[in-house]
Amino acid sequence: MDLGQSRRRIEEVVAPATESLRSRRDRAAFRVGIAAGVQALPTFAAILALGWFGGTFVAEADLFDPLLLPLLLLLPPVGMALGARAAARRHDLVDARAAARVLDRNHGTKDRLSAALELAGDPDSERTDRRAALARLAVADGVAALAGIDATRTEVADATIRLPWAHAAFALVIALAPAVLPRGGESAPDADPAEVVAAADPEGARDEQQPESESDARDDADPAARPEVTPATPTRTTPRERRVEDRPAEEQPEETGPSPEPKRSAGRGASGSDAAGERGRRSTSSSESQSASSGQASAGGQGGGGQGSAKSETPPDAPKEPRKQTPRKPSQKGQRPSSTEGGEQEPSAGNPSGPSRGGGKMAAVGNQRSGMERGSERDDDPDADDEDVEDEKEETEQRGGVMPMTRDRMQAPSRELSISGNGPPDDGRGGPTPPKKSRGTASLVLGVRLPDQVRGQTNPGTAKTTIEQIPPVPQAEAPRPASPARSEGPSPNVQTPARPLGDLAETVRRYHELLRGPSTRSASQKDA
Amino acid sequence: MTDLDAAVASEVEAFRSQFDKLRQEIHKVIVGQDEVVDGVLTALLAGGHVLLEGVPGIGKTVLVKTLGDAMHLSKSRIQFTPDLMPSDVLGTMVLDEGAGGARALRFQEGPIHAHVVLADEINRATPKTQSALLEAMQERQVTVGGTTRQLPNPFIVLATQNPVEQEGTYPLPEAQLDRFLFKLLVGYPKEHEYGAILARTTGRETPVAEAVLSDDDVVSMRRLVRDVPVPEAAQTAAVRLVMATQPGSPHSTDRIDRYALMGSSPRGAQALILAGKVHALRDGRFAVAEDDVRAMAIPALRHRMLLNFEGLGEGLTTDTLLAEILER
Repeated sequence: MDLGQSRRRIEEVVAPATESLRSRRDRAAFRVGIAAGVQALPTFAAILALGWFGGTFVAEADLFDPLLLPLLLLLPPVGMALGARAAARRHDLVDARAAARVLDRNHGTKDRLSAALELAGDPDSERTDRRAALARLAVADGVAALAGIDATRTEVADATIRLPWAHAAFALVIALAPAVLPRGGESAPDADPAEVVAAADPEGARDEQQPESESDARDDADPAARPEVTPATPTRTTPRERRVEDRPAEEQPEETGPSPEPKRSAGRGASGSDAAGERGRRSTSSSESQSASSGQASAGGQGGGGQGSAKSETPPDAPKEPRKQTPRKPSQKGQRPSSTEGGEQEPSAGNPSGPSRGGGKMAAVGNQRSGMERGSERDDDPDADDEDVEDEKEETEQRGGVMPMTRDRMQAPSRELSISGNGPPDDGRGGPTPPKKSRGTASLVLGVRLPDQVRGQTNPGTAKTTIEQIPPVPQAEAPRPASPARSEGPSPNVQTPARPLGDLAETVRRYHELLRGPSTRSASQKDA
Repeated sequence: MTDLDAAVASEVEAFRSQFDKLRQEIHKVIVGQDEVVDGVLTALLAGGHVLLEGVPGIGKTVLVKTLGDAMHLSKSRIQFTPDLMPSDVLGTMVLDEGAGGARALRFQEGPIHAHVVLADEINRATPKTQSALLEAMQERQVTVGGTTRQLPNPFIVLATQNPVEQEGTYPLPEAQLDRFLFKLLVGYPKEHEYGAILARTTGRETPVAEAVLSDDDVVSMRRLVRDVPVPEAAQTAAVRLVMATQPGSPHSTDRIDRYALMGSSPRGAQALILAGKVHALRDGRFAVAEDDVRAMAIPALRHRMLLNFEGLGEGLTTDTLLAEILER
């Protein structure tokens, strides 16, 4: 069987596989087209939905007209047609060799069919050398391998193209949304912001109901005094602000303005040196029931508990509701009943770690410290100044490391010898300090292994080569013809004695005897 | 089938039988290490050189010596040390005094002038000495004293190096690495192989391989390998495999782009095709298949790639990246 016959034989066997591959490619192209059309559906559905909801996006045009819906439904067929066109253009790319490769892969013939098909069509295989002989042997091997080939088995490992059903479902949901939801412009009337807030925070709404019921009459009389529904947001304060707030109420600046009724009652509690005020303060840091009792005490005008300031207007027989707190206006910060106690109640001022909604909850550390500090910083305490250092240390300990004080960050007094006192330390003798030694760059990055050399990467090195281009300068004088140098005498570099040393020998000997002194001379005379 | 075809078919059959005979002879001494032995024989018949890497004591040097014993080929061993000079490898001109007192310069051949050269612990020599092998490995010739001398045919360099004890070593330059057809990793023997190893090495008689091939046999086998046709599919596979190792090429993977500093040179594609031809002949086929190329990819390309800093930091190896390319 010659090469031509072998090729035709192989092509005949491979032909069904070729057709199968082509049809498979066509179907794949169709599916790709449909998939592209379906993927475009949500975009069109979204445009439809936007047009339905008030037409704000496309003015007054109603896109949901009978003409657009068929257009939407036409998208998949259009994609399919485009895919078919692409498939037709790629139809001829599937040849017998590609089918033979698929058959080789499916039957484990190690490219025997495809190699035979290719070599059978190679004109070099007709030659009479060893390479051509090997090619002919390969063709024969491929033809022999046809015996076990089932050309209908053409499992192609191409990537399966799945239709984007999720896109279709999403488009359907968007398209059906206008039928379910109310049309644009028919939205619900504007709700009361309080209700919106209440809906957003049911617990907060419950808290607001009680004070409003308690002060209904007062709110009616004074609408400005009606508390805002804006929820209190915790704000950070600097340590300096906290210290200002920790000071007694008498030291507060005048910018706080005239104090309303709660401040007066609380002010009494704050400035009071009586035992009732102390009891009220202790009650602030105690349990909730104790704070309720302190509120009663402040109603009697003797104590200034935090809740007492808020409940000082309430009658003593009012029902106790746990943790009911009126939301504060932003301006209430300056109208705190007392800077000492208001600071403890304000979640943003005196209680950095306290609850955001204030109330009777107090920080376990910060507020206790404030109460104790107030007791030790009374004006009539003569030992207050002497205990500043200890108080500071205690204060730092009691703060629990929540917010370190700025005073703690002051630089320690320098004990280094230096001229100016601010410069780098030196030996006190003046002059520039020695240059700081460079320790190189950090080489340890935690978690990342750093190889100490990267193979194949050139080292930048430390040597620097500078290439300077110097243009040639013409010589000013014309060169003279060189003439060989001739010298008659000996070379000046060669030392030749002008006269023999015999004449000078006696002179040299006497010179050295003179240098060595009379002892040497006498010895030499003895010898002589 | 013509007479030529029949003769060539018998040559292919002889190729297979000689290959198997040589392998059996080597396995008289070497226990296990099938992949390494096949790789060395493939490189020998493809006309390439082999770099063997493994920890001490697993038979690298014995394998090379056994290969030399199994063929009627001259063999030499060069123990690479830091003070080895190029003239110690290539040879040098010496002043020779004749019988009548006449003196003349004579070329004293170095150990490189042999069929099978064992370059033991090649990474312990300085780059100057390592580079003395460049011309010998690529052009099969050496130039000393202005005279170029051809090396014997067949010529194969089997170099060994140790992956540990890197202190005081000189990693092979890329140009040198690229000249090795294969880099084979010699691993530890398997448990069931230890018994045979101990029996062969601790007894009174040590097995020795007998020579079953001559230099002419090897040369004719190499010529047959060169004549094996390569279909387009196999050649395309080799080219794409090599390009897949090059960061930034259209066939590279994302991890190659990220972790590879340098990919294989076209020598890698040549190695794939040549080794694929030997693989096809061993399998009794007359043309290279795509599977032949893929089977040779890791030993032929692992030393032609370089990882970048990030890849080294991640602890990756070129084998990992090549396996990912092959699985794609």
